[in-house]
Amino acid sequence: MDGINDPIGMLNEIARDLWHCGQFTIGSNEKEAEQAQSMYFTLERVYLEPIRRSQVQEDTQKYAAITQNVANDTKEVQASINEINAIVDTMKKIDEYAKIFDSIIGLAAGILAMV
Amino acid sequence: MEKRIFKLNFFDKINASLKNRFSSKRMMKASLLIVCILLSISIGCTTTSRMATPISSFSDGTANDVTVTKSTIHSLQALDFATKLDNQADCLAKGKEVISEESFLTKCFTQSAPSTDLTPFLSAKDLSQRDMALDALAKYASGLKELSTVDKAKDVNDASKDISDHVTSINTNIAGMPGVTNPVNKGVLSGIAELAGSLVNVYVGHKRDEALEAALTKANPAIHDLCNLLAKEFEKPNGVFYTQLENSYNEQVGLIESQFKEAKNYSDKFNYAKKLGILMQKREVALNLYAAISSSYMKLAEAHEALLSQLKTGVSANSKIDEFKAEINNIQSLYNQLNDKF
Repeated sequence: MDGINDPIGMLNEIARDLWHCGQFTIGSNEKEAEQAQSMYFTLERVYLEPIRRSQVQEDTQKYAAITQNVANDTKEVQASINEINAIVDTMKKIDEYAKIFDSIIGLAAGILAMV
Repeated sequence: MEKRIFKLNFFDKINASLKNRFSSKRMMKASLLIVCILLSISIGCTTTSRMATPISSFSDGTANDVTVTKSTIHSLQALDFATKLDNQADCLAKGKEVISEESFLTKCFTQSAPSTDLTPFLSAKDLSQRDMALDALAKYASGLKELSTVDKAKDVNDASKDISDHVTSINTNIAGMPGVTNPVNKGVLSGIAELAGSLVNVYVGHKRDEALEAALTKANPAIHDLCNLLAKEFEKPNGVFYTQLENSYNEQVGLIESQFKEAKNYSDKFNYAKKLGILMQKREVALNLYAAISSSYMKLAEAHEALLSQLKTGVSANSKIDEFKAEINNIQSLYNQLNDKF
């Protein structure tokens, strides 16, 4: 016989069956319906919700680690964008130097023409 | 021997032809200018990354997915807490007993169910950590989009044109100086500046694709893990959020059914029956939304993998991106239905 692979999944299934049992017997067998509903709510409130809470808390720890990794990867992407922007800034600087050199040569040409 | 003579004649002919074509320096300069312009046109056009379109779709889809998911998690928390409050009020009104886990086995078959306590399903830390993870995912996708669409062609071309203007002006000034007899052609200078600009654009494009591949490769495991976690929590039928939502609605249905049974007149009974019908429809749509959110994160991870594969192997990521986009449309539709219809 196979063991239970997913006990929480099985408990969820039982809870669902109890819920459906409670729903389908309403109107035909009120007492049975009430009992099924009561069992469903007890199973949910006493067992399943606390189990879910602890699963959520476990996942929260995992999220913290992954979030840090994704944030680091995003920083690297931003660094690449900055690097590309820097290439264009270098071109703009060359343009500025050309402009300064142009002024100097213009001035020199003017002086030479006067001489 | 004959072959050697033929070769000599052949090269002589070419030489003569070239001499005829470039008989003057002006002609050579003009030819150089044409080559520069042709190179500029052919290279300068390739500034947009081939990954820009699929990555933009991926990023936009991720942003929508994250927005809906964050809102859905906060709505679950609100719904769950409201349900617990209603339940407590009902239990207090009816004087029901609040039983502990220890007495569960002995009492669950004989007595009514215990009341819930008012502890929220998600703690502040659980909520904020998920918000931060989702924000990080959206920010990463938006960074990828920015990187893939970073198009500095206009800036580079403007800068190279300005450089060209200044160098031409320098050349004109030098040409005007006494003793300078053979100035460089203006067209050649501007052509060279434009070519330099185009080469910078090619370099930028290369750097961008290299950075994209590095980012996608490095982030892939973290994106995969994050999507798996999100998909697992919303998964049908046993995800923690899915089952908690199902239970919150069941609790509400249980309360309305009990109010229906206790209603004294038909008008009240009719109202409760109507309320119950709407609640059941809402439950159905909300559960479908959760299942779709789970599926969307599986598809998001697949789309990310496909983008990486496209960069590495050239195999198009379009089909995976389309699947992801279709799921996002489905989510948007269910989300709107849930918020507008009910």
